[in-house]
Amino acid sequence: MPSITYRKRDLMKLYVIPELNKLHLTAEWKKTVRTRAEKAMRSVRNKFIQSFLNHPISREIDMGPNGYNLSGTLKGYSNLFGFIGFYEDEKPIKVLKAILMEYEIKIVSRNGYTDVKIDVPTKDKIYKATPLPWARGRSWVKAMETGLSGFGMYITSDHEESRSGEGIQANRKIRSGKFTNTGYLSELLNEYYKNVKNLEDRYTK
Amino acid sequence: MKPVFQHQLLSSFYLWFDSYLMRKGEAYETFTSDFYYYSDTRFPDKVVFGSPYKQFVADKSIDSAVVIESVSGDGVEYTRGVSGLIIDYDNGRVMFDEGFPTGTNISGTYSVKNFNTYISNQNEEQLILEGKYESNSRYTRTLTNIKPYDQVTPAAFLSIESLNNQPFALGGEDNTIAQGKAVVFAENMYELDGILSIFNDSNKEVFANVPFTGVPLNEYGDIKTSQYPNGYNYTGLASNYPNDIYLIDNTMVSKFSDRIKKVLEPSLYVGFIDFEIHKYRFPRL
Repeated sequence: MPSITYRKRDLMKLYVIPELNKLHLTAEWKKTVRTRAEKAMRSVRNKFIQSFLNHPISREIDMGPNGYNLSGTLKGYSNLFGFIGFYEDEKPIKVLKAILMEYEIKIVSRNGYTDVKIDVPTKDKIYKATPLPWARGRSWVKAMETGLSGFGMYITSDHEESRSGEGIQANRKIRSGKFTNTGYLSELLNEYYKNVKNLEDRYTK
Repeated sequence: MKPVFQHQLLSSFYLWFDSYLMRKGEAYETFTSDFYYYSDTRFPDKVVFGSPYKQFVADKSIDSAVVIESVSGDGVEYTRGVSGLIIDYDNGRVMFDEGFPTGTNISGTYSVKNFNTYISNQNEEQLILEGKYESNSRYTRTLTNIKPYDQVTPAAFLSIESLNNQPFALGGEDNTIAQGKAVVFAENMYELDGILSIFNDSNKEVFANVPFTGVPLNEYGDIKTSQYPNGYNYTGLASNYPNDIYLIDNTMVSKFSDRIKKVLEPSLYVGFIDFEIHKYRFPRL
C-alpha cells in the first residue's frame, strides 16, 4: 500500500485554519475578546484620567473659587477658576472628567477576522463641551493652550448674579497679558489616543 | 529686516479676509455723496476733501461694488492724476494738488465696506475695553467728512496670535500652524450674526500666499498704479499663486455673551472669530 505524506502546512490549511476561522463567529469568542479588551481599556483610561486629574491646571480649577494659582499661569495671582469666570457652584473639572471617562468598544467579527474599535472622545467633542462662560463658542480647555483673555474677572460684583466669588473679589486689573498659556489636555490626549490605538491593534486578530 | 513668513501670512490673511467678507456676504454699501473740504496737517501741500464714510472698496473682484476712480467737481470729471487727484481708499477721501480751489463742490459714487478691516497688535481686552472707537454708521446720513486715521466701527481687527511648527514629512517639511483671530465690532445683531456666519463657513477654505509687496494700497491709501495699472482685483491676484496657499483647517466663532456685555457695557455687538491656519513649508531651507 503506497504511503501518503502530508505536509504540515497543508494539514493546517485543510483542517485547522477553517476551524479557527469559525471560532471568530462564536459568541464565546466575542465575549472573551470583549472582556479582555474592556479590562485593558479600563486600565488605560484610568491611567489617563489620573494624569488629567493630577495636572496642575485641573487641580487648580478643581479647588474652586478659593484656590490659588498652582499652575503658575497667572504668575501666582488669583486663580484660574475666577480668571475664566466660572460660577461659584460650577464643577468644570467634574463635567470634563465625565466626558473623558466615556468610551465604547465595538467588536466586529467575520469569518477568520475580529476587528476591535474603541471610540473615545475627540478633541472637537471636548472643546464643544467646555465653553468659556463669556464666549460660548470658545473652549476654556483649548484656551489654556492657545491663550485666554481675562474677561471672566470683569463679572458684576452683584453677588446675586455673580459667577466666581473669587473673580469678583480679586484684583480686576488682571489682563490677558498676565495669562501664560501652557500645554494641557492635548499632550495627555495624544498619549491616550496612542495607547488606545495600541490596544485596538493588540486585540484585532 | 526683509519680510519673513509671519509678515506674509498676516498680509495675505488680511487681503483674503477683506475680500471674502465682501464677496460672500455682499458686505458693502454704495453711496453717492458730497466730499467736504478740510485741512490735513500731515499733507499741508494737498487739498483734501473727505466723504462721510471710510473704508472705500478698492477690490474690483467684488461684483457690483463701485470702486471709485474719479470724482466730479463743479461739473468737471476728475480722474486719478488730474489736478494731482489721489484717492485715499482707507480714509474715504480724495486729495488734490496745492492750489486746487477749496470751494469746489466735489461729489462721487463709491462703495464702502460694511466692516472696516484693520490689522491689530492689541489684545482682546484692550480692543474691547480701552478702544473708544468713533462710530461710522452705514445707516445714518452724515453731512460732514469722517475724520482720517482714527479706527472706526463697524470693524474687524485681525491678528496672528501664535505660530507653531509641527514636523510633517521627511526632508524637513513642517506644518506651520498659525492661530489667527478676528475681533468684530458690529452695529447691530444682524451684522454680527452675518459676519460670524460667513466666517464659520470658511472652514477648509484656502487662500493665496500673496507676497508682502502685493498689498495694493500705497502710503496715500491709493492703489499702487504701477503695480496694478488696471486696478486691484483680489481674485485675479490670488490666482497668480495657485500652488502657494494657506489652508484654514478650523474656524470657531463666538459672541461676547450678553451677561458680560451688560457688565462691561460696550456700546457695540462684539464677536470673535478664531482661525486655525495651516501652511506646509520648509522653514529651514
